Amino acid sequence: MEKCALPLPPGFSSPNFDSACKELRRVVGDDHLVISGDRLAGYFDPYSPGLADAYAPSGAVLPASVDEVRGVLGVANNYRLPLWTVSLGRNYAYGGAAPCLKGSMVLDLSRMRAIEVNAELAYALVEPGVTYLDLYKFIRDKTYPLWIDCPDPGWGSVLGNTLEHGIGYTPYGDHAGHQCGMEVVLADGEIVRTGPGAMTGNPAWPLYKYAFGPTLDGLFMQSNFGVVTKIGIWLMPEPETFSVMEMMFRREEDIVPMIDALRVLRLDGIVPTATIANWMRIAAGNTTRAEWYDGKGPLPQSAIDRLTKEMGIGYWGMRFGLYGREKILAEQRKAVEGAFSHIEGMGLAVATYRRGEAIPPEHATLAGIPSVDLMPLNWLGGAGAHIECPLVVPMQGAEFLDLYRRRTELFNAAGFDHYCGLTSTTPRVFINTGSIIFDRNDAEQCARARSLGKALIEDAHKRRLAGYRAHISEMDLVASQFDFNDHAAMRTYERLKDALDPGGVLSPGKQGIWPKALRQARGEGGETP
Amino acid sequence: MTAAPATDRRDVIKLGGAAALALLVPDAVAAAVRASSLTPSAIVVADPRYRESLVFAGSLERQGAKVLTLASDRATTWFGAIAPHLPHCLRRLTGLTLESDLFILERLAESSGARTCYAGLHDWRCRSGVGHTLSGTIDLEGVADALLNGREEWVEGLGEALVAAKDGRPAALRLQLKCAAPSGRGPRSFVSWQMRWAV
Repeated sequence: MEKCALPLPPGFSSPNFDSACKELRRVVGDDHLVISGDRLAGYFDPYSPGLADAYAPSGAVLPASVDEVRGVLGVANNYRLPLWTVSLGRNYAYGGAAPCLKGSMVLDLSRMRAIEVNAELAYALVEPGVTYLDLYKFIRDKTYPLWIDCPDPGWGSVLGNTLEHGIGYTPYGDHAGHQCGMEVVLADGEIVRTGPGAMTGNPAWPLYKYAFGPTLDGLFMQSNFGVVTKIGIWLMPEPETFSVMEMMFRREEDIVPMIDALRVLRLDGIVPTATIANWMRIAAGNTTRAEWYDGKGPLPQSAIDRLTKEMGIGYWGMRFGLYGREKILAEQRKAVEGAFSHIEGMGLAVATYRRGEAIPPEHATLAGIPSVDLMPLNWLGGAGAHIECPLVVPMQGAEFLDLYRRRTELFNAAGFDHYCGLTSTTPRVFINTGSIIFDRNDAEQCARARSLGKALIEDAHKRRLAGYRAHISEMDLVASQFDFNDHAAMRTYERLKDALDPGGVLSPGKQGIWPKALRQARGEGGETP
Repeated sequence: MTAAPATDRRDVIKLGGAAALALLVPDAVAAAVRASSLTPSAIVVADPRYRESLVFAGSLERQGAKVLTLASDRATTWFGAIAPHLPHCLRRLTGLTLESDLFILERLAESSGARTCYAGLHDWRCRSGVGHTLSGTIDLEGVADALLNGREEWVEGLGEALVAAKDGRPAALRLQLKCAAPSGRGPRSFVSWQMRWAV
């Protein structure tokens, strides 16, 4: 991580900042306001491609309760202190805990760690500091017959990942889609519960997603309109049988029939979710680049051929789980085999586990068992990092192959190998991840990574495709691409922002949404208005 | 990875040195994977995929450290094998691993008060030689000496030097050894590291 001096919040003098900090200490206690020392390192972007200084926070404040959140918001509004809300700040490929606006105070909710699980109705209520590891352990310790769904790695916040539209690998992999019930503290300190939760004591709060009237939950996802302090999430009943189907396909162009066959299986519900990886994603999960090639630039085709041959992998791999009763799964497995059997050279492996059987680490995430490993970041050696520019792409084979080849060109032109993944948690689209893996201690690689990220986003826009998430340094760019009717969506977001957060203290710049006082500077590309 | 201390930086370039790399000593590997049953004050983690990591761990085990093999899920290693020792007497956690493993363990350990007092990046399989970039708040001279002048088994020498290193001022060193590329296969770089807990 780059070292840099801490900035003051925009417009603050040192005495003014000291005064705000004194008031924040009164709310959270001395130990829970961090403006110096080693603990601050955790609020910088650890994977920053050379931009850590431009996104440095002024400090962090850690409330432990909804009341303390309200107290912090009161101080922030009095001083016009910009806050940057994080649950745990482990959204590393997108900026970690670092704010969009330099000098913001990080509002770190990691001390709020309450978990409540209802085993009969299969849901959990969690606060922001609860990790997937925590929730998994809680359910396992209570021996509830329930599975969670977790992203990979699984050390992040359940609430934070859900609000960011994170994804996992079981039928509950669309995390926002399985969220139900939300508690939000608005900028003025008002506490709102969504859906049936708007009625005190209504038991359907974590059970029914809608409301009597507008459904508010989506307004608080990937947004800066409030501070979400609790969500409900649905849990999956432990299936009687769980099958893992893993397939390999030999040629780059096999992606066309793969996707077209998968689409049919996804739409008719036979396959509940799926992940596809190209050769590099498979290789980087198990080996490092120097084991295959140590020249400059991307791996030559001869090295890719040797790699796939020696590792016994295809150009593409695909895997997914099937979940349910054995007789039904047997039919589903037959349908899957039939759907892909026409693709020459397809390899298939199936593993099946009955309820209660141990599931090995290689299949853990498909069973909602969280783990932490960042092996792909070691691909180039050095201090590995990555940034992501994931796209939402329709599930159409030929169109995707064209996109894939173009993105390979861009990766290779920047001197990187193309790391490509496709995850389908809803049946009509993929989230197309394309990790830009680089050595964060190498300034030249950082510069190339930044340029490539921008190029990928701009190239996608030419195809009218866009990111579903973005690194903090690219949020304005991605937001600007949603241009229908001269950016009517952004104007609507801004009207909501002005109404709900008139002081503009909540996460300025998040998803390209700036408060009124800072909009002009955003338009001019200013870093610290 | 924790930011390198910025003071007292110097570069050491040693040209023409030979650095044939370690030949495995089977006994050392066997020792490395054997776990001590004693409550340890020092733990060394070993990545069973890499001989270098096992040899390094073996060198520390011979000086009293308990060896833990990294699980494929690093959270299991931390919560299941390392963290239980924290309330008692664990003071030092060391390893020669891939860099991502240090990144993960630092973050899992941060709430326990751990501080990384040393990290060395070993770019040892590049085409033009071997580079070592060291930083920390321990006396790095002994570590550098072990890498520059030590035996052919630099990994083992490194482990011994780390055990012997005293506390020092924040410092950083960069060593570049011109030598033949090592034979065999493996990752281009490892990181050696040490975390400590205050007594």
